[in-house]
Amino acid sequence: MTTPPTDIELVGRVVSGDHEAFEAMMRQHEDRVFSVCLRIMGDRERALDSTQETFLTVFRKASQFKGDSALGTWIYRIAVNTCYDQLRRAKRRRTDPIPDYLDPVDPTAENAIDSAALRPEIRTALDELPKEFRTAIVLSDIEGMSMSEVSEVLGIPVGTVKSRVFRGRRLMAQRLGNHL
Amino acid sequence: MHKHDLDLIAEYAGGNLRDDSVARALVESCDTCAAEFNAQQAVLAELRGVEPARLTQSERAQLHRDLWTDLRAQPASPSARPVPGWRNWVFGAAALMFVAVALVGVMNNISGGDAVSETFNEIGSGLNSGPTASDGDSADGEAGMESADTTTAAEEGSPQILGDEYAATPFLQIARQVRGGASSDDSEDFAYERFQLDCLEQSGLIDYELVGGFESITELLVAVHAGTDLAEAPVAFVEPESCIVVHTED
Repeated sequence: MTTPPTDIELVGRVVSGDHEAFEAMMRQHEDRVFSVCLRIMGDRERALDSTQETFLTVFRKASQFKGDSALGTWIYRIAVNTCYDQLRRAKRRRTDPIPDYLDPVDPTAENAIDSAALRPEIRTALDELPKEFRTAIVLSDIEGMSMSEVSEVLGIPVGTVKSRVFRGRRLMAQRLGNHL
Repeated sequence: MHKHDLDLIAEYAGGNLRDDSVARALVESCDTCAAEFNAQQAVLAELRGVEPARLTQSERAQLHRDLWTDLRAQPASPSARPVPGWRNWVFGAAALMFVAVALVGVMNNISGGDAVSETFNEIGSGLNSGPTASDGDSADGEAGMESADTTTAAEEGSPQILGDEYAATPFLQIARQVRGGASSDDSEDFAYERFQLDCLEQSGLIDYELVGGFESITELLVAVHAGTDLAEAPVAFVEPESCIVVHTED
């Protein structure tokens, strides 16, 4: 039984042009990257764009991964920065609820969308947060990362992560009021 | 009356304390602490109950298809990326243009000449990585580089521009829009929330108020001196995490 490659080994194969290695890396992380992007960007279409852009960047910058952090941490950091870039570039408009489209030939679509859906009030309160607070809450409270993991992904001290998460929740609670 | 340690309460609500006796006692004895605890828990319950999103089959297929279409246009290996010759020409020309514009700006400053364009101000802000020559007429666009004096109540001196991300911020352009009363429907970056007002206080900007209804591209808090004519009011840019004044436009 072969042991799975380490992060450094996997990235090394990607750098040397092994497309199967890159596919393996993608399969391992694409759902979580998409989930993070969805919560930051607010809709599936933009999240898909951000996810694609993230992995393009991962491919281009693979040679820069030194193994100082876990590969997932490095990839999620790229995902967050990609989303921030796209938010800056995108024209601001009120976010729409997750679209109801259902691919008639995709039996997984309905479950995938419904199970990840936030209540509209929660969704709105989350979208209205400053993006730094929203990102910290997404990574911590929705994606289930520890404060130290979030700190690594965002490249900020743990204390700052806690401050953003706690203040973000406070703001959401104020906005939600009786909806909680 | 004790100090309401809301962060301790928030940690308690998140189940992150090894010893929660102090926090528990606060929640049991203090209405404010109890309210904070309930609010944190209620929001957490909503968020933790959500499953992480997953790609649908068609989304996954689309992602891989589009990604590999882009990647096929790249070299086979990310470490072997030939730079097309024409790009070298473009980068070289851009670099020469920056140098030329910077020289024009410096010469205008020295000579006191006029009419360095707003374009230079915007480009020049990208060259700012620290204190620049003070320019009292920057609001009129007559001089070259933007003023960069901090006006915190506590001190005057070199501005503390934190990180490269603010180096390209068109401060002058934003300040003009603020003074011109420009507004946007998207005011979420400048909601009048308590923590942002606290941040202004920490910055020493006692007589300032947050600008509402402005679409920021800087991710900085933008505040304007209250009580003065808006057309001439100083505009301050504050880094929201550290509450340090990054830049002011007089």
